[in-house]
Amino acid sequence: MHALERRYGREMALAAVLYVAAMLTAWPLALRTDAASLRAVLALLPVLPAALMLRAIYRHVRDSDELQRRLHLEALAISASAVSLVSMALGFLAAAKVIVLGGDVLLWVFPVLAGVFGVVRCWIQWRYRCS
Amino acid sequence: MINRVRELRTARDWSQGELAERLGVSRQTVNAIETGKYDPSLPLAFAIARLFAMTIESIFDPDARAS
Repeated sequence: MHALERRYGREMALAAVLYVAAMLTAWPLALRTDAASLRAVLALLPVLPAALMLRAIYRHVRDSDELQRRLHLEALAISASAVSLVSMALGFLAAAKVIVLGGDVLLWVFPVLAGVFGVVRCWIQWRYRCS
Repeated sequence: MINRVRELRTARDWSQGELAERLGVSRQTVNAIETGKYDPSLPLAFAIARLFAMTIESIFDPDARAS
């Protein structure tokens, strides 16, 4: 199981480094580029390392044992439901013009989902130990 | 469901980690099975039974509940 954790850590670290590199290089360039097609390509570059993160998570869940897979999927179900519900509530508030949301608010969905997943995963693991 | 996994493991002087390695699962999974917090799938129950050279029903008792 340790090899699995090591592989996950390696793949996530690589994806994180690529993400930071894309945000530090391609993203500032995208904001300064006039050509719409090139701007779109540069703006979408950080999505590639984010996809690599998802691949690492998928491979980790797939190769975990049955209890770990159950804990991962329980955490994913709870975090995805919570983030979807909050997104929906914010969407309604924005549509009713109670709050103003910019388009960049969508950028927060992935990191918030990842953060909530991490917290819920720890909570579920703790609950299994203590129940 | 209660089981005799802890009793059988300690009789062989294996740690939870050793048993986990033999079964190809995490130590936490072995601990959760032993404490009755998690009931293993049929393939894992067969693997446990095969490892201890016993039948599944002699290790797992579906009629009893873990405390």
